[in-house]
Amino acid sequence: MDWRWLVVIAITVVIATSELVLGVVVAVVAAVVSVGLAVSALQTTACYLVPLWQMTTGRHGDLAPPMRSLVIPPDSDPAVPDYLHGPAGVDLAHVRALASDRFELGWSRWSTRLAGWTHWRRNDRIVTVPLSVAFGIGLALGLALGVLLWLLVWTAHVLVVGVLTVLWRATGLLLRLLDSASRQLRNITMRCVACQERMPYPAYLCPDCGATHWDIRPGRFGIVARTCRCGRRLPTLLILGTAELTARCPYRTCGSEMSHRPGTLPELVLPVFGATGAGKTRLMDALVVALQQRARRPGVSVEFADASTQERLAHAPERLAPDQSTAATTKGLQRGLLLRLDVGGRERLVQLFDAAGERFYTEAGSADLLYLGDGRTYLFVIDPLTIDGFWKNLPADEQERLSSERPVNVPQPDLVYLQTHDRIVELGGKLRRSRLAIVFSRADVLGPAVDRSDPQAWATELGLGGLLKAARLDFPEITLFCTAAVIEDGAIDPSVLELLRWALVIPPEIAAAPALSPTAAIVTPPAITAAPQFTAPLAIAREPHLDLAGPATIPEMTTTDNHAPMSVAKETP
Amino acid sequence: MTGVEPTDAEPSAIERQAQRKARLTVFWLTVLGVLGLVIGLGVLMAG
Repeated sequence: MDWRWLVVIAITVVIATSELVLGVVVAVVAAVVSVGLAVSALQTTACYLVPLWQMTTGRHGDLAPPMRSLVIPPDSDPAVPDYLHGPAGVDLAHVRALASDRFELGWSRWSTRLAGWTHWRRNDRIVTVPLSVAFGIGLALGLALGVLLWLLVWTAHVLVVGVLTVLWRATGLLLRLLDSASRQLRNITMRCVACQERMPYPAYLCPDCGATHWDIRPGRFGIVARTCRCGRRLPTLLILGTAELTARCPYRTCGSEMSHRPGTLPELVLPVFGATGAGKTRLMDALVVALQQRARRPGVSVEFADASTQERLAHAPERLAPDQSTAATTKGLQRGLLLRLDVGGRERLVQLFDAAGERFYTEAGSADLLYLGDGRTYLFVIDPLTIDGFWKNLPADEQERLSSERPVNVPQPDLVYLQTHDRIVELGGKLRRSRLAIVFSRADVLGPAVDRSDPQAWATELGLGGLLKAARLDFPEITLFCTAAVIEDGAIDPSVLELLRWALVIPPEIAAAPALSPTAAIVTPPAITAAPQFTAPLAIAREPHLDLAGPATIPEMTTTDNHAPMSVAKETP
Repeated sequence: MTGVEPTDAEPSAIERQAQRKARLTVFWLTVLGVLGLVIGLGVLMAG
């Protein structure tokens, strides 16, 4: 063979071998670069996703504690913060910080490994150095892709948290609006009968641990429900079921428990005012007893709405005996009386407020009688004996008979009216949409000296013309009554029933309906040993209920079970 | 009001339990969001 052919063959073999080696080298380098790229991209992405998953599932034992955490003020509600009201933001920052830490740690490990692979003392560095360079190039390229993916995941996380937070808070706002609208439509307001403040929303007790949630409405502790520190889930609004919980006055200086389920019924505030000894307390007792009698007719039912009212009125019938006098009301703030009344299917929560007469003499005295601003029906009680014009016109023997009954050092009704009127106006009372009953008390004691046929003319004769004129300018509707707050032969005086019918706007057809019993019955509520308490979660204790279709006699009842409905002896057919 | 400040306080077990559903929701929505972003970017680039 010609040597030239040999040279050609040799050159061809060398070239072919070189290309093969080169191809192999290029393929290996490309594979190493690809592996580096994939490793880098996956590792960078995992730096974010792994801590996020660990945070989500709670398997974060090996994670560094968060640099930031929610700081809950010590006087906050004892509830777990809603995730989207703070913790989500904390998690976001925490995951980001953890991802950065992992990222730095991962890269420092790769740097160390690469430095080891390319060490000058290695005998195989002719192989490891090119491969390490290729892997490093792959890592660098992968880093760019990984950072892109990292940003993608972080952006998605931020967007999800942000959008969910906005939507969740908007849901809370919507629910609060619906709840308010529901109460507005039903004309429901809420007032604490102990401190007499109008309350924006009741506070509630956790049925399990008894902790107080001062503001249970949707907010930072939950939207639809919140979790008490004890783990119990609680609804957040009346429309979601808070009425089933025990309520408290939300003002921490008061905090009285309210077992009448505030917010479930429209409230009818009946302020009673008048001078000392005018007979306000007795009239209130009489009105309640009259209401019990009225409830013996079809279409009317009444029950004491809380234990305090039941306790206070337990012996009202006895106190109304003609020979019984009523003790003077103390000067302190009196807890209002609460009655759940159903007239013709229209349920209301009647609130009767009383106060010592001295409180109506001065501005300072009536300063904390906040219920005065919320009345729509006012009862102004006047003892005719305190009217100078009446007293002076009495015959001497009558004056002698009644001298012990006459309250002393009592201002004239005009002053009491004007003072109270000013206070009502100051408290935002809407007099032009209200009614006033001027009630002359003690008709039983005064006998024929009271002209019951025409109270208006009689009041003018007594020198109360100026008062009537002023009252007519203030109120669109004024009605005068002469009442005798006594029980005789087991029946309340009809004058009180008449006042009651007017005050509660009982429809004539119901008022005229025959009683279920041939004679009026006074139902004595059972003795109270303790306020009703909840015994089961989310189960409301039943208030003692007056079965007013009961007997015509005064039943003697005692019970120690506050959860059982009050029972009375049944009427004999 | 509720603030966010440096602290070492760890959420309690009740807190973790109460927030578990919300955390899972956020996680899976984030995963869905990533997929959505990847697909969206892919469609944009392809377009």
